[in-house]
Amino acid sequence: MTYAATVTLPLTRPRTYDGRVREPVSDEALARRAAAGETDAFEELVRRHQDMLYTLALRVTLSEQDARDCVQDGLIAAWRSIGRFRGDARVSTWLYRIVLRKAYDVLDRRRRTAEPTDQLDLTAAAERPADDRLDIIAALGSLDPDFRAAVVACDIIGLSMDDAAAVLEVPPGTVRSRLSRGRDRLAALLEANRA
Amino acid sequence: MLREQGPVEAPPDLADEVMRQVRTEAGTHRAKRRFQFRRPAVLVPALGLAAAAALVVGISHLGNMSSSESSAGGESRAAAPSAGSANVQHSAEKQGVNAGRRFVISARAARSLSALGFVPPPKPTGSTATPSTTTGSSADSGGGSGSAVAGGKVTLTLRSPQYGVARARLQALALAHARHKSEPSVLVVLRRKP
Repeated sequence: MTYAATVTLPLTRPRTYDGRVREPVSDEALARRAAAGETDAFEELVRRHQDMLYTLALRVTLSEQDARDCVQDGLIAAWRSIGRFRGDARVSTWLYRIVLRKAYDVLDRRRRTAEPTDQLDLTAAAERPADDRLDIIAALGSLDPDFRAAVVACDIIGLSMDDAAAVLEVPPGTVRSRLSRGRDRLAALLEANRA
Repeated sequence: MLREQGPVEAPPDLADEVMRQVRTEAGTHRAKRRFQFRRPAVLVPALGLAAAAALVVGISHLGNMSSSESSAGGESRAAAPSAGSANVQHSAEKQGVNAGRRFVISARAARSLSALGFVPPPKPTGSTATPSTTTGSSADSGGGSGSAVAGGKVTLTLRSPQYGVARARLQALALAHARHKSEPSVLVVLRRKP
């Protein structure tokens, strides 16, 4: 007598041992585990958000090296203080805020020491080659840092107005105002470049 | 357009570098925490042991003092009349806990202790004796040794069975002597032979 074994192939979504669909772990759960000392949970957080954190830092500081330092220092600071994370904001918002503070520190230091950026200069978009990507990025670099941060937070990172306000640590109305003026300035620069 | 062109990828080694630092910090933090956890765990029993040992030593010291005072109750009363006896007591106290038990008994009764190796002093001068000289003879009997001192101080060193017998006998003699202070006295120091 032969017995046929029925093998259930795993479905596309990962499942637990009892067959339930394994849901992806939320940022908040990872933060709680990281606060308990699990470095693996914190690593998962880092890998989830490193691209957007780096983008935020790069677009605000306009320097790859400074952006790298900001993200690195910010994430180390986040690890040190994750035990004090109360959970009243999203973990991503909290991480953006920490990295943005580091970026502002870089800008302040640069302003005091007249230190030039090493990657993207602040020349007007009209002086850049006729490449759209460079145009808009260079135009972004020519904005005031506060306007730039608002544009980056809302238009590049994709944060809502409230989340951007939490990251920038200003009221939502201020974010709206900065965003509007930053967009107008960008549009003017791009028009000038095309003309 | 910004949403499409703005985002950039983080350098591939950024997360690894961050996590290396995080793990280093976590390791030192954990080591610190472990050390801080272990320190009281070691410290508390050690302090407890030290306190218990100090307590035991203190209690035994007090017990020795009180028992020697109570057993030789006649000693202080008998030694009081003369400065010489006070000197005897003082020199015995200076020797500390190992000085042995001290009994002040009558010189006449002391002769009955010869079975324990006790050699009576040649001149039992009583409470007026000056005990500063420590030359004397010694004799062994039943595992013990006794030394008679001309100044009225006798040291008895006995092994365990005889030590108990001698101690009970000397306590009785000291109490009896305390009631008849007029007789000449002799100071007997009883030590346990190891």
